[in-house]
Amino acid sequence: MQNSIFHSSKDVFIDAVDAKDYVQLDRVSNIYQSLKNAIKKPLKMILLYGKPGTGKSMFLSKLHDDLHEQQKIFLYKTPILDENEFYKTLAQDIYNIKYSGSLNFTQFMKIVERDSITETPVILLDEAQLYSDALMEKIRLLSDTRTLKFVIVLHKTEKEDLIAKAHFQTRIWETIELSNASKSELKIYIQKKLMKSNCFDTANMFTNKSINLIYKLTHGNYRDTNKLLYTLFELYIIYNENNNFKKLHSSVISNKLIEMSAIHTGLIHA
Amino acid sequence: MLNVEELEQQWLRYKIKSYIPHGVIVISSLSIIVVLLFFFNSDINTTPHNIEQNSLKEDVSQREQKTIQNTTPPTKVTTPVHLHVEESKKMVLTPSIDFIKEYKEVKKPPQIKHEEEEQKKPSQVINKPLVKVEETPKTTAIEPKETITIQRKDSQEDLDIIIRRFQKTNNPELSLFIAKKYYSMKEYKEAYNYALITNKINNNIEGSWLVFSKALVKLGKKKIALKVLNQYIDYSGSNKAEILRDEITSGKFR
Repeated sequence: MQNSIFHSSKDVFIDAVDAKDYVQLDRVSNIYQSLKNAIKKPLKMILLYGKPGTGKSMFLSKLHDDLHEQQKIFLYKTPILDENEFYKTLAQDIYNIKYSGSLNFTQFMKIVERDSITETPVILLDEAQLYSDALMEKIRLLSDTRTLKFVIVLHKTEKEDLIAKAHFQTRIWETIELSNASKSELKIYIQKKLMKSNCFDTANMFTNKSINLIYKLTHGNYRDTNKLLYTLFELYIIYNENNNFKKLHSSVISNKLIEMSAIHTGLIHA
Repeated sequence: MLNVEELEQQWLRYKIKSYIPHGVIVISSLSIIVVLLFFFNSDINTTPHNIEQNSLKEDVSQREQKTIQNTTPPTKVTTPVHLHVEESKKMVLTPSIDFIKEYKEVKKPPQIKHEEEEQKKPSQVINKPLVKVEETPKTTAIEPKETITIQRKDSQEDLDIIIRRFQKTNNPELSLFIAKKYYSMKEYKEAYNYALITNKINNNIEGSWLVFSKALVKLGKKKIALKVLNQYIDYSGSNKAEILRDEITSGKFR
Protein backbone atom coordinates (compact mmCIF):
# COMPACT_ATOMS: atom_id res chain seq x y z
CA MET A 1 0.00 0.00 0.00
CA GLN A 2 2.72 2.37 1.00
CA ASN A 3 4.71 1.55 -2.08
CA SER A 4 1.85 2.53 -4.34
CA ILE A 5 1.76 5.92 -2.63
CA PHE A 6 5.40 6.42 -3.38
CA HIS A 7 4.94 5.23 -6.95
CA SER A 8 2.19 7.76 -7.53
CA SER A 9 4.22 10.49 -5.90
CA LYS A 10 7.21 9.63 -8.00
CA ASP A 11 5.22 9.93 -11.22
CA VAL A 12 4.07 13.40 -10.23
CA PHE A 13 7.59 14.65 -10.62
CA ILE A 14 8.36 13.28 -14.05
CA ASP A 15 10.05 16.16 -15.79
CA ALA A 16 7.66 16.66 -18.67
CA VAL A 17 6.09 19.78 -20.09
CA ASP A 18 2.35 19.34 -19.95
CA ALA A 19 -0.07 22.19 -19.53
CA LYS A 20 -2.27 19.98 -17.38
CA ASP A 21 0.52 19.76 -14.82
CA TYR A 22 0.74 23.52 -14.54
CA VAL A 23 0.76 24.58 -10.87
CA GLN A 24 -0.68 27.98 -10.16
CA LEU A 25 1.43 30.13 -7.89
CA ASP A 26 0.43 33.69 -7.05
CA ARG A 27 3.45 35.49 -8.37
CA VAL A 28 3.72 33.29 -11.44
CA SER A 29 0.01 33.71 -12.10
CA ASN A 30 0.49 37.46 -12.27
CA ILE A 31 3.28 37.01 -14.76
CA TYR A 32 1.17 34.65 -16.83
CA GLN A 33 -1.67 37.12 -16.86
CA SER A 34 0.62 39.88 -18.04
CA LEU A 35 1.81 37.59 -20.85
CA LYS A 36 -1.76 36.93 -21.89
CA ASN A 37 -2.51 40.62 -21.87
CA ALA A 38 0.61 41.40 -23.87
CA ILE A 39 -0.54 39.10 -26.66
CA LYS A 40 -3.69 41.15 -27.00
CA LYS A 41 -1.67 44.34 -27.43
CA PRO A 42 -0.48 45.41 -30.87
CA LEU A 43 3.02 44.24 -30.19
CA LYS A 44 5.42 42.83 -32.71
CA MET A 45 7.36 40.66 -30.35
CA ILE A 46 7.35 39.44 -26.77
CA LEU A 47 10.45 38.08 -25.13
CA LEU A 48 10.10 35.53 -22.39
CA TYR A 49 13.39 34.67 -20.78
CA GLY A 50 14.82 33.03 -17.71
CA LYS A 51 17.31 30.47 -16.50
CA PRO A 52 16.80 26.81 -17.45
CA GLY A 53 14.22 25.14 -15.27
CA THR A 54 12.24 28.26 -14.40
CA GLY A 55 9.10 27.14 -16.23
CA LYS A 56 9.30 28.96 -19.58
CA SER A 57 8.28 25.96 -21.64
CA MET A 58 5.46 25.24 -19.23
CA PHE A 59 4.34 28.84 -19.64
CA LEU A 60 4.20 28.55 -23.39
CA SER A 61 2.42 25.25 -23.14
CA LYS A 62 -0.13 26.70 -20.76
CA LEU A 63 -0.61 29.75 -22.96
CA HIS A 64 -1.18 27.64 -26.03
CA ASP A 65 -3.56 25.42 -24.12
CA ASP A 66 -5.58 28.39 -22.87
CA LEU A 67 -5.77 30.37 -26.11
CA HIS A 68 -5.73 27.90 -28.98
CA GLU A 69 -9.52 27.66 -29.06
CA GLN A 70 -9.99 31.44 -29.07
CA GLN A 71 -7.37 32.52 -31.56
CA LYS A 72 -4.73 31.35 -33.97
CA ILE A 73 -1.77 30.44 -31.84
CA PHE A 74 0.99 28.07 -32.83
CA LEU A 75 3.52 26.52 -30.49
CA TYR A 76 6.87 25.22 -31.67
CA LYS A 77 8.50 23.45 -28.73
CA THR A 78 11.59 22.42 -30.60
CA PRO A 79 13.30 24.86 -32.92
CA ILE A 80 13.12 24.32 -36.66
CA LEU A 81 16.72 24.95 -37.50
CA ASP A 82 16.46 24.63 -41.25
CA GLU A 83 15.21 27.89 -42.73
CA ASN A 84 13.35 26.23 -45.58
CA GLU A 85 11.60 23.90 -43.23
CA PHE A 86 10.81 26.81 -40.95
CA TYR A 87 8.95 28.73 -43.65
CA LYS A 88 7.24 25.62 -45.00
CA THR A 89 6.03 24.69 -41.51
CA LEU A 90 4.68 28.18 -40.86
CA ALA A 91 3.04 28.29 -44.27
CA GLN A 92 1.34 25.00 -43.69
CA ASP A 93 0.26 25.65 -40.09
CA ILE A 94 -0.85 29.28 -40.46
CA TYR A 95 -1.99 29.59 -44.07
CA ASN A 96 -2.71 25.96 -44.81
CA ILE A 97 -0.40 26.05 -47.78
CA LYS A 98 1.67 23.00 -48.53
CA TYR A 99 4.93 23.29 -50.36
CA SER A 100 6.65 20.20 -51.66
CA GLY A 101 9.75 22.01 -52.84
CA SER A 102 11.83 24.58 -51.04
CA LEU A 103 10.40 27.81 -49.75
CA ASN A 104 12.62 30.79 -49.18
CA PHE A 105 12.05 33.95 -47.23
CA THR A 106 10.93 36.08 -50.17
CA GLN A 107 8.35 33.52 -51.23
CA PHE A 108 7.11 33.23 -47.70
CA MET A 109 6.81 37.02 -47.39
CA LYS A 110 4.62 37.06 -50.48
CA ILE A 111 2.38 34.45 -48.93
CA VAL A 112 2.18 36.48 -45.76
CA GLU A 113 1.28 39.68 -47.62
CA ARG A 114 -1.17 37.96 -49.94
CA ASP A 115 -3.02 35.86 -47.39
CA SER A 116 -3.59 38.43 -44.70
CA ILE A 117 -5.71 37.16 -41.84
CA THR A 118 -8.00 39.38 -39.82
CA GLU A 119 -6.68 38.10 -36.59
CA THR A 120 -2.94 38.23 -36.23
CA PRO A 121 -1.59 34.74 -35.61
CA VAL A 122 0.69 34.29 -32.61
CA ILE A 123 3.75 32.13 -33.01
CA LEU A 124 5.35 30.75 -29.88
CA LEU A 125 8.98 29.84 -30.42
CA ASP A 126 10.61 27.87 -27.61
CA GLU A 127 14.39 27.44 -27.29
CA ALA A 128 14.87 30.38 -29.61
CA GLN A 129 18.52 30.65 -28.60
CA LEU A 130 19.13 27.72 -30.97
CA TYR A 131 17.95 29.63 -34.04
CA SER A 132 20.69 31.01 -36.23
CA ASP A 133 21.37 34.71 -36.42
CA ALA A 134 20.19 34.82 -40.03
CA LEU A 135 16.91 33.19 -39.15
CA MET A 136 16.46 35.49 -36.20
CA GLU A 137 16.84 38.43 -38.59
CA LYS A 138 14.15 36.95 -40.81
CA ILE A 139 11.87 36.56 -37.81
CA ARG A 140 12.49 40.22 -37.00
CA LEU A 141 11.49 41.21 -40.52
CA LEU A 142 8.38 39.06 -40.35
CA SER A 143 7.34 40.74 -37.11
CA ASP A 144 7.83 44.13 -38.77
CA THR A 145 5.05 43.30 -41.23
CA ARG A 146 2.66 43.11 -38.24
CA THR A 147 0.99 40.20 -39.89
CA LEU A 148 2.63 37.78 -37.48
CA LYS A 149 3.27 38.12 -33.75
CA PHE A 150 6.09 36.26 -32.11
CA VAL A 151 6.61 35.17 -28.53
CA ILE A 152 10.27 34.26 -28.24
CA VAL A 153 11.52 32.16 -25.38
CA LEU A 154 15.18 32.28 -24.49
CA HIS A 155 17.40 30.85 -21.85
CA LYS A 156 18.84 33.66 -19.84
CA THR A 157 22.56 33.31 -19.92
CA GLU A 158 25.05 36.12 -20.23
CA LYS A 159 25.58 35.48 -23.93
CA GLU A 160 21.98 34.84 -24.88
CA ASP A 161 20.81 37.87 -23.02
CA LEU A 162 23.08 39.97 -25.13
CA ILE A 163 21.90 38.29 -28.32
CA ALA A 164 18.30 38.94 -27.48
CA LYS A 165 18.93 42.57 -26.82
CA ALA A 166 21.04 43.06 -29.90
CA HIS A 167 18.48 41.54 -32.21
CA PHE A 168 15.32 42.83 -30.77
CA GLN A 169 16.09 45.91 -28.82
CA THR A 170 13.67 48.16 -30.61
CA ARG A 171 11.19 45.51 -31.55
CA ILE A 172 10.56 43.90 -28.22
CA TRP A 173 7.68 45.72 -26.66
CA GLU A 174 7.34 43.40 -23.77
CA THR A 175 9.91 41.36 -21.87
CA ILE A 176 8.95 38.93 -19.21
CA GLU A 177 11.47 37.25 -16.97
CA LEU A 178 10.83 34.04 -15.13
CA SER A 179 12.90 33.21 -12.08
CA ASN A 180 13.27 30.36 -9.66
CA ALA A 181 10.67 29.79 -6.99
CA SER A 182 11.08 31.23 -3.51
CA LYS A 183 11.08 28.91 -0.52
CA SER A 184 7.40 29.38 0.19
CA GLU A 185 6.52 29.02 -3.50
CA LEU A 186 8.52 25.82 -3.66
CA LYS A 187 6.58 24.35 -0.76
CA ILE A 188 3.29 25.28 -2.43
CA TYR A 189 4.55 23.87 -5.74
CA ILE A 190 5.50 20.50 -4.24
CA GLN A 191 2.38 20.11 -2.15
CA LYS A 192 0.01 21.29 -4.87
CA LYS A 193 1.54 18.93 -7.40
CA LEU A 194 1.14 16.00 -5.02
CA MET A 195 -2.38 16.94 -3.96
CA LYS A 196 -3.43 17.36 -7.57
CA SER A 197 -2.60 13.68 -7.99
CA ASN A 198 -4.31 12.76 -4.72
CA CYS A 199 -1.02 12.07 -2.93
CA PHE A 200 -2.15 13.74 0.26
CA ASP A 201 -0.09 11.54 2.59
CA THR A 202 3.18 12.31 0.93
CA ALA A 203 2.23 15.97 0.58
CA ASN A 204 1.90 16.16 4.36
CA MET A 205 5.30 14.54 4.87
CA PHE A 206 7.04 17.65 3.64
CA THR A 207 7.94 19.78 6.64
CA ASN A 208 9.53 23.20 6.63
CA LYS A 209 12.84 21.57 7.44
CA SER A 210 12.71 19.32 4.40
CA ILE A 211 11.55 22.18 2.18
CA ASN A 212 14.45 24.29 3.46
CA LEU A 213 16.86 21.53 2.53
CA ILE A 214 15.30 21.04 -0.90
CA TYR A 215 15.43 24.79 -1.50
CA LYS A 216 19.04 24.90 -0.40
CA LEU A 217 19.89 22.19 -2.91
CA THR A 218 17.78 23.31 -5.87
CA HIS A 219 17.62 27.08 -5.26
CA GLY A 220 13.95 26.90 -6.21
CA ASN A 221 14.60 25.58 -9.71
CA TYR A 222 11.58 23.60 -10.87
CA ARG A 223 13.46 21.18 -13.06
CA ASP A 224 16.02 20.35 -10.39
CA THR A 225 13.23 19.98 -7.86
CA ASN A 226 11.35 17.57 -10.10
CA LYS A 227 14.46 15.47 -10.65
CA LEU A 228 15.32 15.49 -6.96
CA LEU A 229 11.89 14.47 -5.79
CA TYR A 230 11.54 11.83 -8.48
CA THR A 231 14.75 10.23 -7.20
CA LEU A 232 13.64 10.72 -3.60
CA PHE A 233 10.48 8.71 -4.09
CA GLU A 234 12.42 6.12 -6.01
CA LEU A 235 14.59 5.67 -2.94
CA TYR A 236 11.53 5.40 -0.73
CA ILE A 237 10.25 2.64 -2.97
CA ILE A 238 13.55 0.75 -2.72
CA TYR A 239 13.77 1.17 1.07
CA ASN A 240 10.22 -0.05 1.39
CA GLU A 241 10.88 -3.08 -0.77
CA ASN A 242 14.01 -3.93 1.21
CA ASN A 243 12.10 -3.59 4.47
CA ASN A 244 14.38 -0.77 5.54
CA PHE A 245 11.56 1.68 5.79
CA LYS A 246 11.45 1.42 9.55
CA LYS A 247 14.92 2.96 9.73
CA LEU A 248 13.44 6.14 8.38
CA HIS A 249 11.04 8.41 10.15
CA SER A 250 7.84 7.41 8.43
CA SER A 251 5.79 10.54 9.05
CA VAL A 252 8.22 13.09 7.62
CA ILE A 253 10.49 13.18 4.61
CA SER A 254 13.95 11.98 5.56
CA ASN A 255 16.68 14.55 5.09
CA LYS A 256 19.10 11.72 4.62
CA LEU A 257 17.17 10.50 1.59
CA ILE A 258 16.92 14.02 0.23
CA GLU A 259 20.68 14.32 0.45
CA MET A 260 21.16 10.90 -1.11
CA SER A 261 18.87 11.94 -3.97
CA ALA A 262 20.85 15.12 -4.37
CA ILE A 263 24.07 13.13 -4.59
CA HIS A 264 22.52 10.94 -7.29
CA THR A 265 21.17 13.85 -9.33
CA GLY A 266 24.42 15.77 -9.05
CA LEU A 267 23.12 18.55 -6.83
CA ILE A 268 25.63 17.48 -4.17
CA HIS A 269 29.16 16.56 -5.13
CA ALA A 270 30.12 13.95 -2.58
CA MET B 1 17.97 1.37 -10.81
CA LEU B 2 19.58 3.20 -7.93
CA ASN B 3 22.52 1.64 -6.11
CA VAL B 4 21.39 2.36 -2.58
CA GLU B 5 24.44 0.97 -0.81
CA GLU B 6 26.80 3.04 -2.86
CA LEU B 7 24.61 6.08 -2.34
CA GLU B 8 24.64 5.51 1.41
CA GLN B 9 28.42 5.35 1.43
CA GLN B 10 28.63 8.51 -0.62
CA TRP B 11 26.19 10.15 1.75
CA LEU B 12 28.29 9.14 4.74
CA ARG B 13 31.39 10.61 3.15
CA TYR B 14 29.50 13.77 2.36
CA LYS B 15 28.29 14.10 5.96
CA ILE B 16 31.78 13.63 7.35
CA LYS B 17 33.13 16.25 4.98
CA SER B 18 30.36 18.65 5.86
CA TYR B 19 31.12 18.37 9.59
CA ILE B 20 34.85 18.98 9.17
CA PRO B 21 34.56 22.78 8.88
CA HIS B 22 32.28 22.85 11.92
CA GLY B 23 34.77 20.73 13.83
CA VAL B 24 37.61 22.98 12.82
CA ILE B 25 35.70 26.06 13.92
CA VAL B 26 34.78 24.49 17.27
CA ILE B 27 38.34 23.33 17.94
CA SER B 28 39.77 26.71 16.92
CA SER B 29 37.32 28.55 19.14
CA LEU B 30 38.10 26.30 22.08
CA SER B 31 41.84 26.75 21.53
CA ILE B 32 41.47 30.51 21.40
CA ILE B 33 39.42 30.49 24.58
CA VAL B 34 41.97 28.29 26.34
CA VAL B 35 44.86 30.51 25.22
CA LEU B 36 43.02 33.64 26.32
CA LEU B 37 42.23 32.11 29.69
CA PHE B 38 45.82 31.04 30.06
CA PHE B 39 47.12 34.52 29.31
CA PHE B 40 44.52 36.13 31.50
CA ASN B 41 45.43 33.91 34.42
CA SER B 42 49.11 34.28 33.81
CA ASP B 43 48.72 38.07 33.87
CA ILE B 44 47.11 37.87 37.28
CA ASN B 45 49.81 35.55 38.50
CA THR B 46 52.74 37.37 36.95
CA THR B 47 52.51 40.39 39.27
CA PRO B 48 54.37 38.49 41.89
CA HIS B 49 57.64 37.92 40.13
CA ASN B 50 60.02 36.39 42.54
CA ILE B 51 63.70 36.92 43.07
CA GLU B 52 65.25 33.80 44.45
CA GLN B 53 67.29 34.79 47.43
CA ASN B 54 67.91 31.88 49.72
CA SER B 55 70.49 33.70 51.81
CA LEU B 56 68.38 36.81 51.99
CA LYS B 57 65.57 34.79 53.41
CA GLU B 58 67.55 33.88 56.45
CA ASP B 59 69.28 37.22 57.01
CA VAL B 60 66.30 39.36 56.32
CA SER B 61 64.12 37.31 58.59
CA GLN B 62 66.63 37.64 61.35
CA ARG B 63 66.90 41.39 60.92
CA GLU B 64 63.21 41.76 60.64
CA GLN B 65 62.65 40.01 63.90
CA LYS B 66 64.78 42.64 65.53
CA THR B 67 63.19 45.58 63.86
CA ILE B 68 59.66 44.35 64.23
CA GLN B 69 59.77 45.34 67.83
CA ASN B 70 60.28 48.94 66.85
CA THR B 71 58.41 49.07 63.65
CA THR B 72 54.92 48.04 62.88
CA PRO B 73 54.28 45.56 60.15
CA PRO B 74 54.60 45.08 57.30
CA THR B 75 58.29 44.54 57.78
CA LYS B 76 58.83 40.85 57.72
CA VAL B 77 60.22 39.20 54.70
CA THR B 78 60.15 35.66 55.83
CA THR B 79 60.15 34.05 52.45
CA PRO B 80 62.32 34.72 49.47
CA VAL B 81 61.42 37.42 47.06
CA HIS B 82 61.66 36.34 43.52
CA LEU B 83 62.12 38.08 40.28
CA HIS B 84 60.78 36.47 37.21
CA VAL B 85 61.14 37.59 33.71
CA GLU B 86 58.28 35.97 31.97
CA GLU B 87 57.58 35.72 28.35
CA SER B 88 55.39 38.78 28.54
CA LYS B 89 58.48 40.71 29.67
CA LYS B 90 56.92 41.87 32.87
CA MET B 91 59.08 42.04 35.90
CA VAL B 92 57.69 42.69 39.29
CA LEU B 93 59.17 42.42 42.72
CA THR B 94 56.91 40.92 45.31
CA PRO B 95 57.14 40.42 48.98
CA SER B 96 56.31 37.19 50.71
CA ILE B 97 52.84 36.00 51.38
CA ASP B 98 53.30 36.60 55.09
CA PHE B 99 54.37 40.11 54.37
CA ILE B 100 51.26 40.76 52.40
CA LYS B 101 49.06 39.29 55.10
CA GLU B 102 50.71 41.35 57.75
CA TYR B 103 50.60 44.43 55.64
CA LYS B 104 46.94 44.08 55.12
CA GLU B 105 46.40 43.85 58.82
CA VAL B 106 48.15 47.13 59.40
CA LYS B 107 45.95 49.68 60.93
CA LYS B 108 48.39 52.02 62.60
CA PRO B 109 51.12 53.76 60.78
CA PRO B 110 54.65 52.66 61.67
CA GLN B 111 56.47 54.35 64.48
CA ILE B 112 59.76 55.64 63.46
CA LYS B 113 62.80 56.34 65.52
CA HIS B 114 63.66 59.94 65.77
CA GLU B 115 67.20 61.19 65.57
CA GLU B 116 67.98 64.79 65.45
CA GLU B 117 70.74 64.27 62.96
CA GLU B 118 68.56 62.34 60.70
CA GLN B 119 65.90 64.91 60.87
CA LYS B 120 68.05 67.35 59.05
CA LYS B 121 68.60 65.07 56.14
CA PRO B 122 65.13 63.75 56.07
CA SER B 123 63.75 67.21 56.28
CA GLN B 124 65.82 68.15 53.31
CA VAL B 125 64.60 65.11 51.58
CA ILE B 126 61.09 65.62 52.75
CA ASN B 127 60.82 69.07 51.34
CA LYS B 128 61.40 67.99 47.86
CA PRO B 129 59.05 65.07 47.85
CA LEU B 130 56.42 67.09 49.63
CA VAL B 131 56.73 69.72 47.00
CA LYS B 132 56.57 67.04 44.44
CA VAL B 133 53.50 65.61 46.04
CA GLU B 134 51.90 68.96 45.93
CA GLU B 135 52.81 69.73 42.41
CA THR B 136 52.37 66.43 40.68
CA PRO B 137 49.02 66.19 39.00
CA LYS B 138 48.72 62.56 39.94
CA THR B 139 48.40 63.32 43.58
CA THR B 140 45.71 65.82 42.86
CA ALA B 141 44.02 63.18 40.79
CA ILE B 142 43.86 60.91 43.78
CA GLU B 143 41.69 63.30 45.70
CA PRO B 144 40.25 65.53 43.06
CA LYS B 145 37.74 67.01 45.38
CA GLU B 146 40.18 67.76 48.23
CA THR B 147 42.67 70.54 48.14
CA ILE B 148 46.14 69.61 49.24
CA THR B 149 47.71 71.97 51.69
CA ILE B 150 51.25 71.61 52.82
CA GLN B 151 52.25 72.66 56.24
CA ARG B 152 55.59 72.38 57.85
CA LYS B 153 55.18 69.84 60.58
CA ASP B 154 57.13 67.18 62.25
CA SER B 155 58.48 64.71 59.72
CA GLN B 156 56.92 61.78 61.50
CA GLU B 157 53.51 63.30 61.22
CA ASP B 158 54.09 64.07 57.58
CA LEU B 159 55.02 60.50 56.92
CA ASP B 160 52.07 59.21 58.88
CA ILE B 161 49.76 61.30 56.77
CA ILE B 162 51.35 60.00 53.60
CA ILE B 163 51.10 56.42 54.81
CA ARG B 164 47.43 56.85 55.69
CA ARG B 165 46.77 58.37 52.31
CA PHE B 166 48.53 55.50 50.63
CA GLN B 167 46.51 52.97 52.59
CA LYS B 168 43.35 54.64 51.33
CA THR B 169 44.34 55.21 47.76
CA ASN B 170 46.99 52.56 47.01
CA ASN B 171 48.81 55.10 44.89
CA PRO B 172 52.27 53.76 43.95
CA GLU B 173 53.65 57.28 43.84
CA LEU B 174 52.94 57.58 47.53
CA SER B 175 54.42 54.21 48.40
CA LEU B 176 57.54 55.10 46.44
CA PHE B 177 57.81 58.34 48.36
CA ILE B 178 57.45 56.42 51.61
CA ALA B 179 60.14 53.99 50.48
CA LYS B 180 62.48 56.82 49.64
CA LYS B 181 61.67 58.54 52.91
CA TYR B 182 62.48 55.46 54.91
CA TYR B 183 65.64 55.00 52.91
CA SER B 184 66.72 58.51 53.72
CA MET B 185 65.99 57.81 57.35
CA LYS B 186 68.19 54.72 57.08
CA GLU B 187 65.19 52.50 57.70
CA TYR B 188 66.35 50.18 54.96
CA LYS B 189 64.00 47.40 55.85
CA GLU B 190 60.98 49.63 55.54
CA ALA B 191 62.40 51.13 52.40
CA TYR B 192 62.83 47.66 50.96
CA ASN B 193 59.25 46.71 51.85
CA TYR B 194 57.66 49.83 50.46
CA ALA B 195 59.72 49.50 47.31
CA LEU B 196 58.25 46.02 46.96
CA ILE B 197 54.73 47.33 47.49
CA THR B 198 55.28 50.00 44.86
CA ASN B 199 56.55 47.44 42.41
CA LYS B 200 53.60 45.20 43.03
CA ILE B 201 51.19 47.97 42.19
CA ASN B 202 53.12 49.13 39.14
CA ASN B 203 56.21 47.27 38.01
CA ASN B 204 57.21 49.96 35.54
CA ILE B 205 58.28 52.49 38.18
CA GLU B 206 62.01 52.71 37.87
CA GLY B 207 62.37 54.34 41.27
CA SER B 208 61.01 51.29 43.06
CA TRP B 209 63.71 49.13 41.50
CA LEU B 210 66.44 51.57 42.46
CA VAL B 211 65.30 52.00 46.04
CA PHE B 212 64.89 48.27 46.38
CA SER B 213 68.41 47.60 45.12
CA LYS B 214 69.94 50.32 47.26
CA ALA B 215 68.14 49.02 50.34
CA LEU B 216 69.44 45.54 49.62
CA VAL B 217 72.99 46.83 49.40
CA LYS B 218 72.53 48.64 52.67
CA LEU B 219 71.18 45.46 54.18
CA GLY B 220 74.33 43.71 53.08
CA LYS B 221 72.85 41.87 50.14
CA LYS B 222 75.03 43.28 47.44
CA LYS B 223 74.98 40.22 45.21
CA ILE B 224 71.26 40.01 45.25
CA ALA B 225 70.99 43.71 44.56
CA LEU B 226 73.26 43.32 41.55
CA LYS B 227 71.27 40.35 40.29
CA VAL B 228 68.06 42.33 40.54
CA LEU B 229 69.59 45.31 38.83
CA ASN B 230 71.02 43.22 36.01
CA GLN B 231 67.70 41.60 35.31
CA TYR B 232 65.92 44.94 35.43
CA ILE B 233 68.50 46.43 33.06
CA ASP B 234 68.01 43.53 30.63
CA TYR B 235 64.29 44.08 30.76
CA SER B 236 64.14 47.85 30.58
CA GLY B 237 67.55 49.12 29.54
CA SER B 238 67.40 51.73 32.31
CA ASN B 239 70.36 54.08 32.39
CA LYS B 240 69.91 54.92 36.04
CA ALA B 241 69.94 51.26 36.90
CA GLU B 242 73.14 50.83 34.94
CA ILE B 243 74.74 53.73 36.76
CA LEU B 244 73.71 52.32 40.12
CA ARG B 245 74.98 48.89 39.16
CA ASP B 246 78.36 50.34 38.20
CA GLU B 247 78.54 52.28 41.43
CA ILE B 248 77.75 49.18 43.44
CA THR B 249 80.26 47.11 41.51
CA SER B 250 83.00 49.72 41.84
CA GLY B 251 82.32 50.16 45.52
CA LYS B 252 81.34 53.75 45.08
CA PHE B 253 77.97 52.89 46.52
CA ARG B 254 78.04 50.83 49.66
